[in-house]
Amino acid sequence: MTGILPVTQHYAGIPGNVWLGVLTTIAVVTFLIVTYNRFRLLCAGNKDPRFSSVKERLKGLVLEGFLQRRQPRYPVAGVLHIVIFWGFMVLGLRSLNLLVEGLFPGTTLPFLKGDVGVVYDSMKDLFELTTLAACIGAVYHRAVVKPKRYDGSHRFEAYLVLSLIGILMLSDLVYEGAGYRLQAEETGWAVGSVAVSYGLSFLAPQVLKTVHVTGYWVHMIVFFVFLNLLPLSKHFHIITALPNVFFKKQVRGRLKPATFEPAPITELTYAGVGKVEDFTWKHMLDFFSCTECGRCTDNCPANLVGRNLSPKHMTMRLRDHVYGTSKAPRSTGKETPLIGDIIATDELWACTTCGACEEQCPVFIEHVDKIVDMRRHLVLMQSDFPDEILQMFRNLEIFSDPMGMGPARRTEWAEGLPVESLSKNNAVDVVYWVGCFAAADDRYRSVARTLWKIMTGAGIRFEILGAAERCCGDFARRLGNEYLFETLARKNIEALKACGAKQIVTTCPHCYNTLKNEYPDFGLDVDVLHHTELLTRLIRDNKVTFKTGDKARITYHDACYLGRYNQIYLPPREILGHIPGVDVIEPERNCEKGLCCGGGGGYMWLVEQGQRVNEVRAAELSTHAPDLVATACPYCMTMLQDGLDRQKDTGTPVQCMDLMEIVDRFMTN
Amino acid sequence: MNIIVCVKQISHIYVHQAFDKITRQLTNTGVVHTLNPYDKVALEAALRLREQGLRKQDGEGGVTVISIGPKRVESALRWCLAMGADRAIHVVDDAAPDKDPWPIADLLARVIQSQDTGHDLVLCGRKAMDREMGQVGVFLAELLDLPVVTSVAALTVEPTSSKAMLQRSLERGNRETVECALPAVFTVDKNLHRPRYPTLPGRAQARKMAIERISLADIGGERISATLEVTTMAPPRIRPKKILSPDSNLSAANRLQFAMSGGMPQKKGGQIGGDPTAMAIGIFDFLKDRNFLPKPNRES
Repeated sequence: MTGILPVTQHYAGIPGNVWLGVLTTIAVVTFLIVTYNRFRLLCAGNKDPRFSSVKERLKGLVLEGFLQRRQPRYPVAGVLHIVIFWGFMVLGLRSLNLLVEGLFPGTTLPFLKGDVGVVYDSMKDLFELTTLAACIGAVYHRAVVKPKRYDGSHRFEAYLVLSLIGILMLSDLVYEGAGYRLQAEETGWAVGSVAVSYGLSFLAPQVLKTVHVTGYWVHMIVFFVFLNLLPLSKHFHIITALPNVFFKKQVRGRLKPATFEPAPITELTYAGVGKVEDFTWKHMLDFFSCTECGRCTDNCPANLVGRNLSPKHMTMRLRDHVYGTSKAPRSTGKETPLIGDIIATDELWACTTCGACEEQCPVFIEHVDKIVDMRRHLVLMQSDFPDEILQMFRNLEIFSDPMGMGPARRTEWAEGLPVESLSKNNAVDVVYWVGCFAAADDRYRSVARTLWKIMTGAGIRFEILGAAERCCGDFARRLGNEYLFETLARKNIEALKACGAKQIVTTCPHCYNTLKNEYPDFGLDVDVLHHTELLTRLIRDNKVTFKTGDKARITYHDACYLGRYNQIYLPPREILGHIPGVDVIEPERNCEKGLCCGGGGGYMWLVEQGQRVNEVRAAELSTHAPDLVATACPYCMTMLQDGLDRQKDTGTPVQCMDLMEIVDRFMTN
Repeated sequence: MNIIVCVKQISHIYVHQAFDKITRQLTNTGVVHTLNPYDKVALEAALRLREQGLRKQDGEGGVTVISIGPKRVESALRWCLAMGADRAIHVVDDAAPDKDPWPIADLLARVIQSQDTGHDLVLCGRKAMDREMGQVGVFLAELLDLPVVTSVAALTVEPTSSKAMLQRSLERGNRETVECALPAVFTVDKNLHRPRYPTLPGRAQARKMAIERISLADIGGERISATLEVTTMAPPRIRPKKILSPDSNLSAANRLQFAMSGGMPQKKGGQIGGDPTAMAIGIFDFLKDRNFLPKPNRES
C-alpha cells in the first residue's frame, strides 16, 4: 500500500530484505531453542490425561480464553486486559503482514488483499489506538493505583512489556502515517495513521522518509525482541495461557488422584510431589502461564488472616525452581528438596482448599491440587504433619469417622424416628448419606432430623446405610492422606453398590462433592443430590409450601464445596426467595467470591494460629445486622456460629442455621 | 541388638457396643480392634534404638514383634511392620486367655526362648488399654529371669556399654532415674515417644513381608491353665449426680428419697465468660443475687 518499502533500500550495500531475513532467522531460531527447552520441561512432567471431551474444552477456550470471561471481575485491569488481548489478536496479523511484505517485497498476506485489506487497515488503526491507550492505562494502574495484589511480581518486566507494546503500536502508526504523507495518499478510514500523517506534515520529504524507514525497522526489531522475551518472562502466558485454558480441569471438585494408573493405592510405593519432576505436565504449563496478577492471593482466606501462604508467590517460586533459576539450581546435580527449601511446610498446612484462588485465576491455574499433592508427599512419604491431625487419622482408621464416635452410634440421630437402616431384603432407590457430622454433632443432628421430616412429608421413602456408612474421606484426602481416603472410599462404594441405591441425598457439601465428583474414579456411578437441590425441586413441585406472617432478614453464606466446587449458587437463593417474609441480604463477598468459613481442607481439625478466618467471615456476615445467618454445610455452620459468638458489639449473637432448618421453620406443616 | 516387642490387639472400649437401637438387636458393629497404644509406643522406642545404630558387633540386630491371638491379630502386626519392625511373629491361639496374664506371659516367654537370635531387650507396653492388668511384662521378666523396669518414661542405651539409663514415671509427675543392665524387660509408659505414622512405602513393605505363624505345638504344647478367673463384669453404674452434702433444709423424708433415687439434682452452676469487665459484672451480679454482699448502709 505504501509506495516506499524500507526493505527495498540498501544498507551497507546489502538489500534491506536480506537484513530482515537474517534478523528473522536469528530471532526465530533463538525463540525456538528457548521454547523447545521449556517444552522439554513440560514433557518431563508426570502424565495427566486431559485430551478427552474436546467439545467442552473448545467451548471453555472460547468463553474463558478468547472472550476472557473472568477478566472483568477486576473491572479496571480486566477491561484493559481484554483491550490489549484483542489488540494482540488483530495486530499480530498486522506485524506478520509487515514481515511478509518486508521479506518478499511486493507480496501481501493473501487474505489481506483488496477490500478486506482496506477494512482490516482501518480496523487495525482503531485497535492500535485503543491498545496504546490501554497500555498507558495499565502503566497508570500499576504505577499510581498500585493494587496490593501486584506485590512481589516482576515490576520491571511488566513495564518493559507494556512499553514494548506501546512502541509497537506507535512505530506502526508513525510508519504508516509518514508513508501516507510521502505519497500524499488519503486513506480516509485508517484514522490513526491519517492523524499521524497530518501531524508529520511539517517535516521535509527527506526527513519524512527517514522517519518512515525508522518506524518500520523499530517495529520489526521490537517485534522480535518481544517474541524472544516471551518465554523468558512472565509474559510466556501470551503463548501458554490459551492451551492452559483448553486443558483446564473439567470437574471442579475432583482432586487429582494419587496416580492415573488403574492401580489401587495399596500397590503404590511413591505418591505425592516431593520434587519438581513429580508435577504433571499440566502443572508445568500452569507455572509457565502464571502472569503474577495476584488475584489468587487477593482472594486467599489464609493470606487474608496473615498465614504464610500466597498462592501467587508459591507458583512463582515453583516456576523459578522449575526453570532452574532459583537460588539452588537443579543443574548442580544435587536435588533440592521441594518441600522445606522452596515451599515451607507451614505454607502447605495453611490452605483451607476453599478454591477461591482457582476460581479467580484467569488462566485456570490449579493451586489446590498442587498443595494437596505436596501434602501427600509429606503425609505418605515422610509421615510429617501437624500433631493435631494424628488423632483425626487414628479416629478415621479405627472408628471410620473423624470424631471417634464409632459405627454403632451412627444412627443415634434417628432415635425415635422410624428411619430404616439398610434393610437387606429389598433394594432402595434413595439413600440418605448422613455423613459424620450429622451423625455425631449434637447441633447438626437437628438438620438430619429435619431432612427426615421434610422428605417423609413429601412422600420420599429413603433409607440410611447406618453402621455400614463410613467417613467419605474428604478431609483425609485434602490433608494428603490418600491411603486413608482410598481405603474408606472403596468400602463406602462397596456398601452403596450392595444396597443398589439409585440416588443419594446428602446434607454435607463435602460428602456431596466427594460422592459426586471423586467416587466415580473408584467406580461409583450414582446420582447425588445435595439437600438444597432436593429442596428446590420440592418447592417447585409445591410439595413444600410456606406460611406467611413471619419475617426475617437472612444472610446466606456460600459453602465453598457447594458453590465454587459445584456451582450451586442459585438453588439456596431460590429457596430463600420462595419464602414470603424473608429478605435475603447478600454479604459483601458472595457466590464465587465468597469467603471460606475457615473449616475446609481439614482445618476443622487444625489449630489456627493468629487471626481466625471464621471470625473475619462472621464479622462480614453480620455487617448488615441480619436476623439469621443461613448456610448449607455443617462445617460452615460450626465455624460461623463460633465466629458469630465471638463478635463483640452485637448483644446476643446472631444464630447460624442450616437452610433445611429455615425451610422447616417457615413451611406449612 | 535384638529387640523384642510384645504387642496386643485390643478391643476398643470407647465405642458404644452392640445394641442397635433401631433393629433392637445385638450387633458386633461397635467392636473395633486396634493396636494397644502403649505397645505402639514400645515399638516406637525399639525402632528408635535400632535407628541409633545399636547393633551387635557380630551381626545383624533387629526389631521383632510378637503377638498372641486369633487371625485378626495379623492386622495389628501389619501395622507394626508398616511402622518399621523387621519381623512379626503371630502365635495363633483362637482362645487366647487374655483375662489372665500368667498364661500369656508364659506363652511369650516360650516364644522368645525358642528364637535363635537371642534377645538384648524386651519391650512391652505398661498395660493394655482394654483390660488394664499391666502384669504381662513383669511376669515375662520373671519367666525369662531378667530384670524389669516398669513405667519407663525416658530411655537411653549407650552404644558401647550394655546398660540402659531410664526414667520411670511416679506419682504427681515425679521421675525416678534408673540404671539397668541389659538384657532386661522394660514396660513403657505412653508419654515415652509419639509413635510414628506409617508411610506409604512402609505399608507397601509391610504387605510384602511374611508374618511368621507359630502354633502352640511349636512352642511346647498347650498353654498353662489360667489361675485367674473373671467371675463377672459390671458396666459402670450410672453416675449419681454430685452433691457435696444433702441440703439440711429438707425434711428427713425428702432427704431419704433423694438418697435412694441416686442423688440430688446438682446445684445449678454456670460459667461467666466475656471480657474482664463483663466477667466482673457477672461476678458482682452473682454475689448480689445470692445476698453475699453487705446490705447498703441505710444511715449514710
